[in-house]
Amino acid sequence: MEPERTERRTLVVEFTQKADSRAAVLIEGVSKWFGTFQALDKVSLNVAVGERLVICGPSGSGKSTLIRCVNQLETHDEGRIVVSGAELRPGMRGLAEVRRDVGMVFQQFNLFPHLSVLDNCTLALRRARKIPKDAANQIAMEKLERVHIAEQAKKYPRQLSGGQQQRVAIARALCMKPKIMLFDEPTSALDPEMVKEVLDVMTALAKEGMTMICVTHEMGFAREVADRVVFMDKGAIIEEAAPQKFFGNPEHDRTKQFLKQLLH
Amino acid sequence: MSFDLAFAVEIIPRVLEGIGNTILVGILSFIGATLLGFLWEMLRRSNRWVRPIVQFLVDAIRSTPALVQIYFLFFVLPYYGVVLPAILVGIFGLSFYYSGYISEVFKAGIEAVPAGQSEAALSLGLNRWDTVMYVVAPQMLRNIAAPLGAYSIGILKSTPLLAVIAVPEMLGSAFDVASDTYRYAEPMFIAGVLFLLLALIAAFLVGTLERRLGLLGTSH
Ligand SMILES: Nc1ncnc2c1ncn2[C@@H]1O[C@H](COP(=O)(O)OP(=O)(O)OP(=O)(O)O)[C@@H](O)[C@H]1O
Ligand SMILES: [Mg+2]
Repeated sequence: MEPERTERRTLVVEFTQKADSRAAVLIEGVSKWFGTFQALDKVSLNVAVGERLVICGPSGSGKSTLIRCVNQLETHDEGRIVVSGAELRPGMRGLAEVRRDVGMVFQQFNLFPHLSVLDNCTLALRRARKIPKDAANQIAMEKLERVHIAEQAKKYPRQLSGGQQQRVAIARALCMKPKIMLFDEPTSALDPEMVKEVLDVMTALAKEGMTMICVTHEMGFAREVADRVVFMDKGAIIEEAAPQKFFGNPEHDRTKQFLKQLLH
Repeated sequence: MSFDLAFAVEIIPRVLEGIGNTILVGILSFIGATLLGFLWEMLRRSNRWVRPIVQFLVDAIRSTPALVQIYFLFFVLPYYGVVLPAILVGIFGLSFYYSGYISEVFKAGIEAVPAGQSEAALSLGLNRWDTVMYVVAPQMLRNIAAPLGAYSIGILKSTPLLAVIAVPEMLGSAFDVASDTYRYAEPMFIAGVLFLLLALIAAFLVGTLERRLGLLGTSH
């Protein structure tokens, strides 16, 4: 047992040192249980700076759990997660600082209903980054323009369509100038005609070089944007390939089966 | 001895002597109970070592009669050298008693705010305090306005309990009139009507507040 363990240690240390320069996110043997149910089973995954990763897999396979571990909305029980050089631990100090570098977009948008679109965007700038109101508004308007929704800045979330709300949610995350963006099925709750406007914003973001981890089943988006596609099943990563290979010639039966279902 | 309306009207000023204290005790106890209740709920949420202790405290508060708590404070505090005017002890007592219930109002109000709200706030890098103050609490207010309003009336109706530690308030004034005149129907009737009036005013204020909170977020 012992020698093997030391060996793993040194390997991990090397990874961590590299992490500062190359890896935006480093996930090493991460497991997670909900009670007795194992949601993640020794998942290892590195995401390089500037890389666009798409995660797909059947419902309940642990996709959300995995990316929620990256900003510690879920804590992992085993293994290591390093984000921008900082190792994440349960109850760690400085977690809020790490989270400011990691933007997250949710399936249900999760805009703050009691705040205007503009205030949704400036809240964290003002409270967490301590930026004065005028400067925060300016940053927010910039980001809202980027997602083509600046003219709605004074409205409240419930006055917007789903697609508009999701674009606001993206702008809100971008305001913090994150180094990494996490997307958890950002278009699944949208009416079909609104999916494109959100994907277009995400594609533009990818072209600008943002590091992105996207849980999505939008094949077109994955083909066009992803550097790598990861397939998860039962809490584990079972296939990992460039999009051409992944969609054209997947190796595992489980992946083939899943892709077939997706096309129907 | 039939009900004498003229007499009832005549004694209104004397019963009203106590209304100032009733309102004062009612309002201050409501504020105290709300602040304490909020504190209990925040402590319950703070960490897993504090939670069971505070939960026990809240359960204990809710499982003991208000009178026992008021007597306890009144007779026990002086042993420890804390001698306070009876009215202050009464305000503390009612605040304490109702804080147990109001902490549950906060709990339910917070739980009714979808988890995604605080997740979004935390993922933006807000700390826990800012997440509660700027994201959860404003949305919680809408959920708690009605039950909190009900407790404000409950507290108002409990102010006569302070008679046991000789705090002069409206029911006490009514009793004074009764023992001076040997007539009970009229003073009790007047006290009842005045309590009803106060409750109606409180309900009106709560309703107004609720409407304003309900409008929050729908217009600019
Ligand atoms: N808070 C929780 N408590 C208990 N079980 C949970 C919890 N969150 C997730 N799970 C379970 O963990 C498993 C993985 O959930 P997860 O949400 O990560 O799946 P997913 O791949 O994102 O699925 P979907 O495509 O439906 O979003 C599921 O079986 C789910 O029921
Ligand atoms: Mg999911």
